Amino acid sequence: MKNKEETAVLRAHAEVAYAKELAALQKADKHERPTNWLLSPKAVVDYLMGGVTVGKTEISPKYFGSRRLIEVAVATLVTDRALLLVGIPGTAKTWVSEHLAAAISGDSTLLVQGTAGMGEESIRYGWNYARLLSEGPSHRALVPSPILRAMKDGKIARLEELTRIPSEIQDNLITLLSEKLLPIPELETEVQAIEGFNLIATANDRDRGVNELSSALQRRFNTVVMPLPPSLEEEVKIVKARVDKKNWASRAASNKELKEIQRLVTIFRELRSGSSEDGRAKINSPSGTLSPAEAISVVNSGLALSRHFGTGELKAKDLAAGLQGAIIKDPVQDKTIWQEYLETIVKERKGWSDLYKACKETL
Amino acid sequence: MELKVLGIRHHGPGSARACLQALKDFVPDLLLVEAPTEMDSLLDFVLDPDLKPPVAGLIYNAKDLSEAHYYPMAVFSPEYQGINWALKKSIPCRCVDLGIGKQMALEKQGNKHPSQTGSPAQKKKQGDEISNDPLGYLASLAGFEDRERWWEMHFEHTDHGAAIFETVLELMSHIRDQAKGTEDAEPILREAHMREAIRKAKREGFEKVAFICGAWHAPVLQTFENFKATDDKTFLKGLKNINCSATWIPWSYHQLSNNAGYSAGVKSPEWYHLLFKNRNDATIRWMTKAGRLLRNQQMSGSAAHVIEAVQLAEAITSLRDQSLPGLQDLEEAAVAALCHGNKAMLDLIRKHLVIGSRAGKVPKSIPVIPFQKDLEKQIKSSRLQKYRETNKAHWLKGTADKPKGGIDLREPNDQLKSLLLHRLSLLDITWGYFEPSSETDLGGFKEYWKLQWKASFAMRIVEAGMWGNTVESAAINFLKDKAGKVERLKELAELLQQALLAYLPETMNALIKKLDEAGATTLDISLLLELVHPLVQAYTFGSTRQIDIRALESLLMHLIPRVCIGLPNCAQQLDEDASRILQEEIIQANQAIQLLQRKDLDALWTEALVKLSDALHVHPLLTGFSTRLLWDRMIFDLTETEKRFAFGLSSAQKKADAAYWIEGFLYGSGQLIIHQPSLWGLMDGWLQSLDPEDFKEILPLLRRAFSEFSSIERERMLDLARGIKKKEDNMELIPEEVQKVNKELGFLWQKNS
Repeated sequence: MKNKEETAVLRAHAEVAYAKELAALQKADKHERPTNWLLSPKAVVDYLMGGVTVGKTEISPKYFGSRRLIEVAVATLVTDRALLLVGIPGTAKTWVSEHLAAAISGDSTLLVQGTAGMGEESIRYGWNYARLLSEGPSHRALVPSPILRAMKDGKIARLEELTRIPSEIQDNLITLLSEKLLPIPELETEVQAIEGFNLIATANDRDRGVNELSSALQRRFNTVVMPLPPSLEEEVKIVKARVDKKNWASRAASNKELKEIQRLVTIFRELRSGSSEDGRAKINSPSGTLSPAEAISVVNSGLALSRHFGTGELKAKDLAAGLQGAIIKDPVQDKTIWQEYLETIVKERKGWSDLYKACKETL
Repeated sequence: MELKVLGIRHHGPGSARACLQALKDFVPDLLLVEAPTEMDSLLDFVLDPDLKPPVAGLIYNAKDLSEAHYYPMAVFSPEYQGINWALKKSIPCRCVDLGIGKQMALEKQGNKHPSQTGSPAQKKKQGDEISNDPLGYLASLAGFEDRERWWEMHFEHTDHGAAIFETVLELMSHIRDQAKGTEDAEPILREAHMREAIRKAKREGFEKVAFICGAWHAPVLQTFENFKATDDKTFLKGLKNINCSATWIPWSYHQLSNNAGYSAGVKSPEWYHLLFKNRNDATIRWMTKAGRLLRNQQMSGSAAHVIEAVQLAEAITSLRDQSLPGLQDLEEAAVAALCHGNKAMLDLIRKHLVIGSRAGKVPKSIPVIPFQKDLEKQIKSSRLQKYRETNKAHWLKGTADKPKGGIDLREPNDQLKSLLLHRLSLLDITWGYFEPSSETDLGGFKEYWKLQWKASFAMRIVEAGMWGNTVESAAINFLKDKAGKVERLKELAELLQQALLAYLPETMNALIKKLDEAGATTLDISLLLELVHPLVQAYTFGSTRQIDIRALESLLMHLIPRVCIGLPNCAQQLDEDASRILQEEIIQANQAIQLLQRKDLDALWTEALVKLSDALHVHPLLTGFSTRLLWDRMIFDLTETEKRFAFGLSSAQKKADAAYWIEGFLYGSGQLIIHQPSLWGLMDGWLQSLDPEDFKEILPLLRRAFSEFSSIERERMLDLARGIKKKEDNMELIPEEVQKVNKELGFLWQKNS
C-alpha cells in the first residue's frame, strides 16, 4: 500500500522522501536542541552535508558545496534573525531552504511563493468570506497564511522569491520579524510567535534592483550568498546526484553516460564563465543563466528521449536538443553565440565530433 | 642553575600572554632572548616611553647598507612582552642568538660552515616554514587557517601558564627527532651559540634563567647539558664577522603582514593586536569596529546590526564546537549580518581590522645616522614638520578654497620646500608626489606636491645615509654614482633635469660637461636628437628657478646645430621601423626647439627639415612628415606644398611609397586635406589612377594613415569623396587665412601629442 502512495506523488516533500534519514539522526542526536527544533544545529548541518553514517542509515548529501556556508545558514536560524539565501537561479536556494525546514521543523510545507501580484493576505491572513458574512469577524472566519501558521506552531516558514514581491507588501514582514508578533485588529487580538519560529527567504540575484529590500527589512535578515560550483568535478557530482533517479531505470549510470554528463557540464561552465576550461580561449556568454539546475533538466530530458525513442543509453544526440533549448534563449544573439562556440570549441576538441555532429543537426 | 625554556610562536598573541604568565610565575634572575647579539645595544630603549611598537630592530652592515636584517616586534610579540616585563623588574636581559654579522659572513660563503663540506640541505623551503613557525605549521596540518585559534584550543585552556611550555617542548622534541639530519648549518650554529650563552650564564652564577625562543629551538636548548661544550665551541670557532650597526626603526602592521624581508610575518596583525589586548571581548570589539567602519562609508552598520553579527558569530562558533570565534568565523558572520552577503565590503574590513594601519614610533634619543639628523633639520627649517607627523596624504599648502594648494618658487621658503622634496625623491624617499603647474607650462613658478610620509622611509633614510651625511651631499653622490653607470646619453639628460630640480649646481655642471664631451664624440645624430627635448625642458626649469644655466645654454648652442646638420644624413637608408622611431624624435625635438624661441636655432632647424623633405634616399614617411612640419611652420606655402604633394604621389613613385608619404604628411590630423581642395584633388586623382591590384596592395597602408583621425574628420572626408559639399566649403577662402588656421590646428595636435 505504502509503495502505491509513493508512486502516486510526483515529488514527495523532503521530510517524506528522507524520513528514514531524519529519524535516524533524531535518534542518535545527543547535542542540545533549541526549543521546538527536531534536531540539534549540528545534526541539521550533518543532514544537509551528508557523508556520515548514523546507526545503520547512511546520510546522503543534499547540498554539494562548502560546509561552512551551511553552518552560517543554520547558525543564523538559531539567532533572532531570519535567513536570506541569495544566488542566481539554479544554485540550490530553494532546495536548501526546503531541507533546512524539513530537518528543523519536520515540515517544509509552510511555503509562500512570492509573486509580483501578491497581496498582503499571503503574508498575514485572509478571510473565508462566506463565514465572514454569516458570522462576522471570528477566528473561524480567519484564513491564516503559512507564515502565521508557522508562528503559532513554532516552525520554520519559507518565503520564495522575496524580491519579486512589491516593496509595500514586503514591509509587512518587518513587525513580524522584529516583534515576532502579528496583530489582527479585526479581532482585537494578536498572534505571538512561539519559540522555534523563523523564516527562510530566497531571492534571485538577477532580480536585484527590481524590488530592493528596504534597509529596515534588510536588517532583519542575515544574507548567505549561494555560489556556483567551484570546479567541474563538483558540478558533475551535483548533476549526477540530482538527475531524476527514476530515469536511470534502476541501473547505475555507465561510464559512457558519465562522460556525456561531464561534457554537458563543461559546455555550461564554459559558456557561463566566458572562457574555456583551460583558460586559453575567450567565449561569448549567452543570455541564459546555465545553472546546474538547467544542466540537470537537460540530462533528464535526454534520458527520457533515449528511453522512449533511443537505445536506452544516454548519447550525444539525446542531449543535443535539450542543450540547444537551454542555451538559446534569445533566438538571434544566443544562436550566433552557440554556433560560434560549436565551430571554435566543440569542433576542435578531441573526441567530441559526435556531439558536434548531433548539435549541428538540431540547429 | 634552573633553566626554563619558553618555546613560543613568533608574533603569537596567545604565546605572548602565556609567556608573561610563565615569567611571572618563575621570576628569573636573567632573561635570554633568541635575537641577534647586535640587538643587545637596543634593549636600553625598550622602556623609553617614546618607543611605541610596532618597531623593528634594524641591523645593517655599516659599509654596505643593502645588507640589512629586520627584527620586527609588535605589542603582541612574546619577545617584546618578555623583554618589557623583565626590564621593568630590573631583571637583566640578553640577546643571545648568533650575531647578524656572522650570519651575513656565513651567507656569503654559501651558508656553509668552514668545517662543512657538501652543499646545504636542499629541502630548505618546507624546512623554513616548519622551523619559522612550527606551531603554526602544526595548526595548518590540523586544518586551521587561523593559527591563533588552534593555539587557543590546544594551549590556552590548560590550567597553568608554564604548563603550556612543557607541552610545547614535548611536541617539538618529537618533531625535531623526525627532522634530524635535514637541518642547515646556520640554525645548528645558532643553536650552538645560544647554548654557549646558557653555559656562560651558569658560569656567571645566575640561578634562575628564562629563555624565550622559537618553539623549534626549545628542545635543544632545554637539554643543553646533553651537548658537549667543547663541541659547540669548536663548531663556532673561526666564524668570520662583518661589522654591523643596529638601531630601532618604526615599523607598521602593513609591513608586518607583508613578509617584506621577514619570513615569519603574520597574516592578521590588527586581529592579533586585539586578541592580545582584549581577548575576552575580542568578538564584540571586532564587530563593533566593523560596524563603525561600514557606517563611516555610508553603509548600514548600526549597533543592532552589530549585536546580530556578534550573535551569529557566537552561534557559528558553538556549532563548530569551539570556545572562541576565529577570524574566519568573524568574517563569515560579518558578511552575512553586516554586509548583506556582499563580499566586496569584506576587503574594507580586512584592510582595517585584519591587517590594520598602525605604525610605530621610536624615541628621538635613539642613535640616528647623521643624514637623518640633517633631514630632520631641513624639514624643520622648510616648515614641513606638520606633514611629517602624519601618515595621511596631504596636498602641500592645501586649503578649503584651493584643495591642491601649491607653492610659489619665488618665495624663499617655498623654494626650500621644493628643493628638499626634489632631493628626497632623487634619493628614492618619495615623500612628495610632484605635479608641475600644468603640462605645457613646465617653466611656471608654481609647483604642486602631494605629501605622504610612509613608515617604510625609515629604511630608505638609512640607505640614503650611505651616500652622504647631509641630504645635499647624499643627493650629489647618488647622482654622480648614477651618472657613472648610465649608458645612454638620454638618461644623462634626464639626470640633468633631476639635478636642476633638486638644485645641485655642481653635479649639474659635471653632467653638462659629460654630455658635452660625449656629444662631441658621438657620430650618431639620432642619439643627439633625443637629447634635445629633455635638455630644453631642463633649460626652461632652470630659467624659472633663477639657476645659472649658462653652461646648459651653451651646450644647447653646440648641440642643436650639430643635430640640424646631421639630421638629413642620419635619416637616410632607414627601414620603416627605424624611420618611425626617428619620426617620434623629430616631433619631440621640433616642439622643444619651438619652445626655445631662438630665431637662429629655428632657422637651422627648418633648413634641416627642408633638406629632409628633399632628400632622395629617405623613407617617404619622413619626407612626407617633414613637408607637413614645414607647412605647419609656414615655411612652405600652398603652391610649394602642392608641388611636393604631387611629387610624392607621382605615378613613377612606388605605390607603397606614395601611401607612406601620405601617412607621413597627414600625421595626426586630417583637417589640412579637408580644407585644401587642391590637395584633396591631388590625392583623389592619385587614388583613382590606381589599378585594382595596386589599390589592394596599398589599402592596409592607407587604412593605417587614416585610422588615427577622429570619426568626424573621417566622415567629412567621406562626404568629400562622395562629392557632397558642405556649406562652408563653398565659401571663398583666402589662402593666407586658411594657412593661419591650419597652423593653429597643427599646433594644437602638437600640444596634445
